[in-house]
Amino acid sequence: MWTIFMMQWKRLFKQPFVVLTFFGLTLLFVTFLGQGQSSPGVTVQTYTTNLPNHAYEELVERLNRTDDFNFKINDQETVEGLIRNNRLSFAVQLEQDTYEFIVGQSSFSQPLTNQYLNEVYQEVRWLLANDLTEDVLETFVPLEVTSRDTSGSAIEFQAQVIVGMTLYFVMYTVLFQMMSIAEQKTDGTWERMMLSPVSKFNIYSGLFLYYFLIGFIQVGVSFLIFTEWLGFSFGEQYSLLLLSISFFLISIVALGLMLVSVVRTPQQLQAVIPIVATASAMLGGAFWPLEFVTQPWLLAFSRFIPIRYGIESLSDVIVRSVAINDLLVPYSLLLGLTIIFGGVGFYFIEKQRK
Amino acid sequence: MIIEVTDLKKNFGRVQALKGVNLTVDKGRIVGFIGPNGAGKSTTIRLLLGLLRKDGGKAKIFGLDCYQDAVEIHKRMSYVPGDVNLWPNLTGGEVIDLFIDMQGEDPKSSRKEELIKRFDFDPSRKCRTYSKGNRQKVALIAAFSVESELYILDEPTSGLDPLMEREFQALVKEQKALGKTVLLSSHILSEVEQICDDVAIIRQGEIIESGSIKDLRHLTRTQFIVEAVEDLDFSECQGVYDVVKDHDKWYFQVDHRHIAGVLSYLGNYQVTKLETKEPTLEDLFMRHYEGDAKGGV
Ligand SMILES: Nc1ncnc2c1ncn2[C@@H]1O[C@H](COP(=O)(O)OP(=O)(O)O)[C@@H](O)[C@H]1O
Ligand SMILES: [Mg+2]
Repeated sequence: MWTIFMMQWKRLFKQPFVVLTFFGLTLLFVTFLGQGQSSPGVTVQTYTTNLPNHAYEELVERLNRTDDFNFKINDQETVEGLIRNNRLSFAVQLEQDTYEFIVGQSSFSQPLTNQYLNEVYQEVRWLLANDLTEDVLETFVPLEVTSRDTSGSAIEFQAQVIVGMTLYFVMYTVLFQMMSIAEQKTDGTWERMMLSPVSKFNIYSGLFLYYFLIGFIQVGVSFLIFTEWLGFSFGEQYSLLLLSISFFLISIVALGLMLVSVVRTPQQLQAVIPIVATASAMLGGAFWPLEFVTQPWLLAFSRFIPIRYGIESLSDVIVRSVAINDLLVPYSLLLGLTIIFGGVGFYFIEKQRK
Repeated sequence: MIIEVTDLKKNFGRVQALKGVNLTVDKGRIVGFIGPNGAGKSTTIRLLLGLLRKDGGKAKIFGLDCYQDAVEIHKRMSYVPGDVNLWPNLTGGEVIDLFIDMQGEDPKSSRKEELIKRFDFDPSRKCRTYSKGNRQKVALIAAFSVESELYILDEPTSGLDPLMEREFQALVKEQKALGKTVLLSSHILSEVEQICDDVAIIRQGEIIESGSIKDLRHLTRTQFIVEAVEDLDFSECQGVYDVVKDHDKWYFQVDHRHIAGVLSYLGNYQVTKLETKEPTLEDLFMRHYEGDAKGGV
């Protein structure tokens, strides 16, 4: 096993470019996106038709009590003009106890805005219904929870971006490393390995260990750099962090084995990897929150995507400080996917032996 | 018995590559496995190595099943293919070490340095740059660096120059002296003839002849070249084949059991010159494939 394991490293050190490239890309993208996030949040144009001026200003001020959004006072005519000219994708009409979106084209920030407004208006409505002032709020626990969730959503989104990008690029690294199996299958060296007295189990475990470790190192170093450079906090639960990464990486190696087993040539694999990685990142919530995926069949498909559960469990650990019990579902789903992918992979690889 | 193959069958789709091969290799013997290209040598060997699944019959090495117990068998044997595949971005030396390592021995304490010198091999270059012959050297050096009971060599010298070929033959003989067993496949008889104890000849997926080289020679006919004053008439004479007359020279073959009879028969004529030749395996081979040629493939 160690012979095979060491040999992989030897080969890597002779051709480290692919791995270094994906590693560099991870840092680049996340730094870029991370900085984008830390600038004052989403700008939202608003107007009102019924609210008196001071009430409108007060409401906007109340809404701007967050770093995630920047609500602007405007008038209906200007706003509608901007939307008509595609200068704005959406705006909000604010009234006393209700709000309404006018939408030109769909945008990622609209659902986030909606979620935020919904929470604030619930609070406002509740206060109105009970004829209370805001000072009361501090004493009410349930509302505190609500408002914490609100500010949490931005952190959660940032966490999702960082985790999503990291997992997306680590998928590339691991899968492209696994291309060497396909190469060895075509150039005959795979057979040569099978001919050695090293048992299959040892060959596979040596390879697995290598792919796993290289992925792990990439994720680990990325996270470390995000902590140091971007001041991003990954929480305190290091063991759950490691566990989540591990479950994800195991499923990716299994996915890679399945891909290797069904392609005929390394070239085919080279074409398939970006498709699989990008599609699963899109459907698994690495590029945008999963709520944007609305097609039922796409949603059904996303259940078979490891990155979805990887992001889910990691951002739960980072943002919500959950306990291991809360992660049993994503973990077992990842394990299930590992078994399916691995099973299919082993079956087809062994079947090629006539 | 080291290798025991009985009625081994293998089909590739509709192609019957092996139609029931029988082959035994005894301990301490060098066995030549001869046949033209496409006869089924490599297929037989790949079945022996457990790389292919058989469609019928039995294949055993060291009394173990070749498919089921492949790993156990591989611990005790070495294999050199005709087409050696290497990891392109590792150097020859690294691959040799890797092979020795995978065989469970320590590359440092093995005899690889000696073999590298004997084969005049440069281990410092990347495998991608090696010629076929150099790649074969990598496999040969790795195979003979480790202690194995059995060497299975599938046309291992097809890319070597004659000097290296001789080195290879010397190496094989040394293994025999050490009591090792060798199965050596080839489509060139002269290559095998000089070092083998036994041969098995395969044609179209069937063994058509096998035994010790000596026994097979007994089966063959002796070539006679005779010059005589008068015409020879063999119609009364038993065991004479393929009579050809060229000017005053007569060429014919005689079954070994009838040599004495033919000689005394020739006493009736005024023979001016008599020459006999021991047939090489080449001749034997030709005779077996004559059937093919006449049948028109
Ligand atoms: N993988 C394969 N698929 C289909 N046919 C094959 C395969 N391997 C060998 N054959 C066929 O089996 C026969 C025997 O081939 P092989 O054992 O390689 O011959 P040899 O090694 O004696 O030259 C040939 O007719 C060849 O075409
Ligand atoms: Mg062959």
